[in-house]
Amino acid sequence: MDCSKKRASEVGDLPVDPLVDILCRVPAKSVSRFKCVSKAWRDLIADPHHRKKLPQAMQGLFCHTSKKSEAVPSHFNLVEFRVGDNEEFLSVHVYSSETGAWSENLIDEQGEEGQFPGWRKVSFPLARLYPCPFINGFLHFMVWDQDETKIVALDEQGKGRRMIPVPHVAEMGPSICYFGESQGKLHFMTEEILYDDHEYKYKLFIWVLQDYSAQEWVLKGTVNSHEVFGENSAKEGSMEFEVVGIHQDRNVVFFTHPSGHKLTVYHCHF
Amino acid sequence: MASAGSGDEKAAAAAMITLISSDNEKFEVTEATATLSQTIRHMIEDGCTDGGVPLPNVTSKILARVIEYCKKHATAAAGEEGSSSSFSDAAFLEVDRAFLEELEEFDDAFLEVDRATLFDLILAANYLDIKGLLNLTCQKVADSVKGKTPEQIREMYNIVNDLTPEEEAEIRRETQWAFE
Repeated sequence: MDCSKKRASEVGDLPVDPLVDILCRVPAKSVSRFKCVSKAWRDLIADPHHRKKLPQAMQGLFCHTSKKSEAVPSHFNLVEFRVGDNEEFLSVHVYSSETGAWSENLIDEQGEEGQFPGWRKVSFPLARLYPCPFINGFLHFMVWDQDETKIVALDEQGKGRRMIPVPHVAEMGPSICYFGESQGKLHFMTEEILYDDHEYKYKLFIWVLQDYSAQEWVLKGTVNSHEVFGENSAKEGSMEFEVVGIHQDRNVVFFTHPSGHKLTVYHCHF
Repeated sequence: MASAGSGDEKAAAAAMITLISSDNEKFEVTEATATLSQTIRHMIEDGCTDGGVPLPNVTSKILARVIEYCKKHATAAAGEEGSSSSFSDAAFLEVDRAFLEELEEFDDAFLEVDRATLFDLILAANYLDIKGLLNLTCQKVADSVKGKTPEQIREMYNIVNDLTPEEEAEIRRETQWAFE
């Protein structure tokens, strides 16, 4: 009856083409994690030929330039980051509309010194291109520093910097879903996977940086995947939260629905 | 039903192809059904289908399912070509919509199979080069693996982790952002 089993019982048995076809349809984050499954998976995902097709191909292949600006009444500054293949900062330049000039590369200037670790030690994962909110005169973005996620606050001249630790999240458990601004405050969202009742359930934690100077994060609320996507939606695939944004003025979170390309608007009751 | 001048069409529709599974079972299908497979389409174009098309990589159990899929979708393709002149636009759209819904339901029901069968269908769709079926089945697997941890993947598919602890640690270091 089940004679087919011995021919194709695991993903490892699938020919390369369909396996690549499958991985093309999986989010970049999952694909990167799957390098740890086995040697065959690692080699398949790392193969330059496949990287072109796979979602993680974007990560680290290109020299990326991102520009963030904040308009103020009389002038504006533009901060430009260049990020290399290995996700490390190559250069940071600031353009000032007052002087009409770009600054020197601030990385070279500052080297590895100062109270704050040098730029070269900090990486900027492209897969995490969240908005860079401008609050309290600082531009904020998320970086990797010595195996830890941190938020860097950068002043308008691109010189003054401070590190903001992110709310404590359990080791390996939760994943970071979003980082952005709402109601003038930094918000940070993490997700925890719970195995319950033979099912994986996801819980979204929404944190707010309540006191900016004291760097105090407060848990604003949580959202359960079942509550939002419905009890049955697990069948349709992952119940992972893919947060795309938070409302500027309200407690409203936007995420994609696991069943497809639907956008879910969630009003948080807190 | 048949209008004047459809004699050729009828002849084409009646052209039958015999597919032979790995366990030697014979399946008679119309050319319209068979040519959803690019592999078979090329064989027909090259004129090498007389005496049947042996498919040594596909069992009768899987071939029957593949044919079921192709029949349904070949009807869909024929419907798209043929019916526009016979209906007013509005009526045609109505029929079209209903048919697409039916097709979607068919696809959903078609995917209600165990994992081994699903993989066999992927292998068959890959070998026979049936794009629609390959998309459908690959998406199903993709939906079931996304968001999972490597441990869950190994467990789901009985994959033995042959990476050394050092190798695994290195990958985790490199891709730490994905594990947060």
